Amino acid sequence: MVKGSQGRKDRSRVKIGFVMSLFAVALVGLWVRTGWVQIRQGSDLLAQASRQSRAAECEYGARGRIFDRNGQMLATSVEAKSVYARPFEVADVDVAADTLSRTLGVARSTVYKRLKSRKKFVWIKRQVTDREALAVSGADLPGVRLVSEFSRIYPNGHLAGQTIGFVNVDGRGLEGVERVYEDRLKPSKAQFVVQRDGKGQRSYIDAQGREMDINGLDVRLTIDTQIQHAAEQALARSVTEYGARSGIVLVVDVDSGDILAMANDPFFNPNNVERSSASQRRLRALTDIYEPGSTMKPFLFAAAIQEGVIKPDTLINCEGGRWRVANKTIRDTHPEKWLPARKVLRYSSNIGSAKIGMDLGAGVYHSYLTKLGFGEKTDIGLPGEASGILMPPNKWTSVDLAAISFGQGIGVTALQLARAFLCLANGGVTKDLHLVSLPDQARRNPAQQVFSPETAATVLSLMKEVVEEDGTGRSARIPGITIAGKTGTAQKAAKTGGGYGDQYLSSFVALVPADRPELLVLTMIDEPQKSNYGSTVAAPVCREVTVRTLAYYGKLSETLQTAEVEDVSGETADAASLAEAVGEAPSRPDTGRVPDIKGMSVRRALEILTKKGIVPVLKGRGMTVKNQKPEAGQPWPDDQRTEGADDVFVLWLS
Amino acid sequence: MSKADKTLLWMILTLLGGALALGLGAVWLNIERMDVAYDLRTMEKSLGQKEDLAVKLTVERNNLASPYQLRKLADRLELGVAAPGQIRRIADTR
Repeated sequence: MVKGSQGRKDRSRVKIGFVMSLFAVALVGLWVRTGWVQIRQGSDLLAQASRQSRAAECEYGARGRIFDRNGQMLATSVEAKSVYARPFEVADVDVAADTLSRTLGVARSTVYKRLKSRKKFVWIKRQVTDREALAVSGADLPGVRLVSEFSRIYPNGHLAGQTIGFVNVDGRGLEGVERVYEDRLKPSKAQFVVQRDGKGQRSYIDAQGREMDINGLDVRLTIDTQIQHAAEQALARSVTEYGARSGIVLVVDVDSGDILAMANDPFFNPNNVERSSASQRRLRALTDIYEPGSTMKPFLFAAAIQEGVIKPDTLINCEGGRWRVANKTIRDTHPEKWLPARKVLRYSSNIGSAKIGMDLGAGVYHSYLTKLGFGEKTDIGLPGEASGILMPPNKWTSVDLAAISFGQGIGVTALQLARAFLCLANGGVTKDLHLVSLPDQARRNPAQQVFSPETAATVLSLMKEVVEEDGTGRSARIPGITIAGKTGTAQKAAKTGGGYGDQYLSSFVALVPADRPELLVLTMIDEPQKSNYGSTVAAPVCREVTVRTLAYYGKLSETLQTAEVEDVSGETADAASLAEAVGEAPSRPDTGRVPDIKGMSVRRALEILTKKGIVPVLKGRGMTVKNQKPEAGQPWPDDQRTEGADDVFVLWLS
Repeated sequence: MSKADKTLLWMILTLLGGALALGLGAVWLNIERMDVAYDLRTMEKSLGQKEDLAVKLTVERNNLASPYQLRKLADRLELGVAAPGQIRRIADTR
């Protein structure tokens, strides 16, 4: 032992014990704290950590598309950016307002007001173009962000606009097919958890919740865009030419009952809903009720023939064009005395029809009209359909019966009229109209034999005379095709009430071909100003639509005289009729030499050559003539009637 | 140190080594998972953009092939709907 240490107590053990105690206390403290954090606060802290590192995310699908019968797209959804702001995060409101106003084309005052709002979230502009979105993103404005939404696009513009309908900015269907099939078309959403890193970037943990199909289902219509376009073009031309208020064209495939076109003028472009009026958006073919006029007469004739009241050759006294029924005078535009029933229809005699109606009786005629579906909705599946107006027969006076016999005093929609004519075209058996082919539509009404096939055929033959003989529908005649048709020129009720005014509904219905109809074309032109006869205003529309539809289907007659011969070989084809049909082509003066055809379109070149009776051999592909044989200035080939096989005339295309 | 003690020591060391290796493996896997998640996210964004573009191009194609556009084109090329008598059906003699 050291001397100095003898007198002192050895306290090293105490010190060591003290230090150990301190460590023990610290260690116990740590363990207690650890236990507290892990056991007592563990679940709360775990939840906090999850909230920091994980987040719920939603993914919205695209709304279903709408197609025509051939798969042509009528409506689809495209992802578009929308610009929103969180006003409290915007650093410089003036700069942001200037930039957004300039970039997005929104009034500066509007943007400024929104950015000054006390709300946490404000829309600046929804569904902007890609260019605008890029510009906003590039401006990098604090508090201003972009979010993805789906905007609805209608690639064909106003084509069948009223039928397709439209959606609001939130993608909800408000009108037409968009509204009726909202449940099918609307997308669903998937919700899932994502992991966030320190920078806020998100990544998926697993596929849970994302494997489901969230896109809406598609809808396919029976409309054919090509025929719809033809109908709209012809209708617009007539409405403009005659200064009419509106117009309707319906094209129906007789075999299936499919509506191939349903055109309504004025048109409505669903891409520009905000610029449209309610009258443009109305689908007049099913919402508007018209007194159809003489286009109803074929049903009267069918009922009368079916009941044995008349035969086609039964003579009827048409009273020389004026006849009084209970203080009302009925007039005919073609005054005649005695006419066989077939000519009553051919010349559209109101007096003759009224007499047939009176012989038939109100109750019987009413029962036929009811069986044909008048006074009832067609239930085609679109909203806003009208039932029409058909009074019960016990309320019909003699004047009512006379008027209803020639299509006045009864209110029908264009769809009802088309459905009734479909019955006639279908051998007297009713058939439903279809507008939607996908999803499959359940049969709404059972087929009913209203007229015998013989009666239907007889009425069709009478309607054929309307067009093919000296009837009122001559202007709808198409060379080489037989048409069964009927004109209608109905007086409209005066807007002030009390009788009829000075406005008319011009209509025409065509069944093509007449003997065994495959196509039904119905035209209604409302309040034409420059002329009001169905034969002048509506029949040419039916004619144009029919020609274009038949040309589209490749069923247009090859010759001008008859449609009997469907296929003829190139050797037997009569080039003269083709040249005749071509008419006065804007060809160059005939100098007796071959003209310079190079650089012309194929059509123009063919017109020139067919006028000379030459069908050239076409080599290569394209629309423009690159070279020709014989060269320009050479004499015309001797054998002008020889078609292509001998290389009499060759055109090279590019 | 007895043989049993040595065995015990080795077992403990092996277990510790194994635990360490498993821990490192877990960390490595987690890093790889995050990398894959980032890549997946990037590819999904790219796919989404391409799908959007495809939809827009489809819309554009439909617009260009719409009857109204075709009509304009036909007018420019001096093409029109055939009138009755202007159609020839040539029999296929091949």
